[in-house]
Amino acid sequence: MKKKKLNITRAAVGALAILCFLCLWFWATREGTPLGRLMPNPAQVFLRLVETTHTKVGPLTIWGHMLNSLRRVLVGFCIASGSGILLGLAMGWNRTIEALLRPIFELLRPIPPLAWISLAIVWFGLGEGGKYFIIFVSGFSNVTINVYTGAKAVDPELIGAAKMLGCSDRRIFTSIVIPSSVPYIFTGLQIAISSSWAAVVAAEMVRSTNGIGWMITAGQGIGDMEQIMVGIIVIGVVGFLLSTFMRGVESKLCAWSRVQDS
Amino acid sequence: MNKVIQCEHISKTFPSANGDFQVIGDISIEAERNEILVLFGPGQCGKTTLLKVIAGLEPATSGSIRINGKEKTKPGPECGLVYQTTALFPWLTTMGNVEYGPKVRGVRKKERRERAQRYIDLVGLKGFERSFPIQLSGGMRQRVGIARVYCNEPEVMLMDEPFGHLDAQTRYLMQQELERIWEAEKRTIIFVTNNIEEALYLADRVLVMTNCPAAIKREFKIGLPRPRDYTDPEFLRLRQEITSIVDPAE
Repeated sequence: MKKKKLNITRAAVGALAILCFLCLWFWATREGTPLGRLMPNPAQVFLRLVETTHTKVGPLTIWGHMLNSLRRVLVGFCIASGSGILLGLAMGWNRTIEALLRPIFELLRPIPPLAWISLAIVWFGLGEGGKYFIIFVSGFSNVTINVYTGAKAVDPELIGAAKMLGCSDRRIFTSIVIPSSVPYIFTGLQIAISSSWAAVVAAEMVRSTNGIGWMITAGQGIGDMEQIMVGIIVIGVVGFLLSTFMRGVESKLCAWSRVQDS
Repeated sequence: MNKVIQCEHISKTFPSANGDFQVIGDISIEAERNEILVLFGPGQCGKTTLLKVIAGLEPATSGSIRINGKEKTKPGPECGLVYQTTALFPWLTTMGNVEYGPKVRGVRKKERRERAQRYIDLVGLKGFERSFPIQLSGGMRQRVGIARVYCNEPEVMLMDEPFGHLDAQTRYLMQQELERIWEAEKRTIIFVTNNIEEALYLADRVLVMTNCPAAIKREFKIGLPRPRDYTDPEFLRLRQEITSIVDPAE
């Protein structure tokens, strides 16, 4: 009961802050100011956003662009998560694999995803393949390093306890190492989904015919500030929704690792 | 004689930078079926190491451990260990923890569920089957730890200061509960503690251990009728006697 009240207060404060921000934006872009000549005000952006939901921007409406971007993220993110989880668990569990792959991984890890753009174009061309690759690269190392840390952090006492209860060595991996790594896996996925979403926009800005990133670049090309602002806002909102969704899944699956206030 | 466990001439030495460090001298112990054997000694005397060696979690430097006559070298389900830290699997519920042993050993779901439920009821956790360890109090977690070992039906139950982290009230309660559970379903228990009341309340035999390297200083047979009274004159006399011979902790 008390918690619910606290949540309402928190939401109200958040809404108030956004309202203040909008007022500031209105004030800064009022007619006659230097910024006012460059930037549309929030009302204009909002009306344009509503308009794009039923009028096409280039080939598609805003929904179409959003779905295209989301599809790219989903494909790249799934490949990155799947392979990152496998590699992370393998490196954390098997010393030979760790010794073999860790140095390569550590060398590749600090390279920012955007540095791969040129290579991606050379390898996969300007089509979807290159975009998937950029998204994959931006999620993969985040997932791997977190899962690897998780698999390494398994409490040896729990492994001993499992063995004493009759668990075979192979079963230790599935019944102890994997479940105890789940919170780490989710930390990795959480970071990966955000960086994948950030990367899709960058990938689309390089060369694309649709997607939110394309909308922004296209807006820049024709000097349409409203279109750019609509793109930016959609990126923000979708990114926020994606990470909220991931947190929701996480809190369902990792309830056991959180202190409950009951 | 029905010896469930026989440990002969066990010693344990840890190599270290300034020469080898002997933790366990030369210890031989055996326990009869359904006996509660308490290893009592000062803190840091090597009791826990001895238990780990018996459990197979640490290899002995020399000596042998036999369970029902069979040599034991690695951890396995013939010994069950109740940890001081509980070592419950935090991602499993009470039911999940208690049925874990039978599950990984291939007992069918219906059968292991029934068995687990019986032990959950026995340790007094009915209604908490679906709680995660983090939602339980310290005493309840240790009840899960006991049920988990009971449910796996080991030949010998090893208990490593299982109530050491509990507050004094809960500790008394858990001693009485353990005895009640043991009276209901007897098992062979080797129980390690540095608390003399706990030792006398539970033990059929108390082995008093020396300081490191651990050796057995003296054995006391405790013939008091159960359940015992912490204030019984004989209880107090034994308490006095044992306390007077135990080494001060280092």
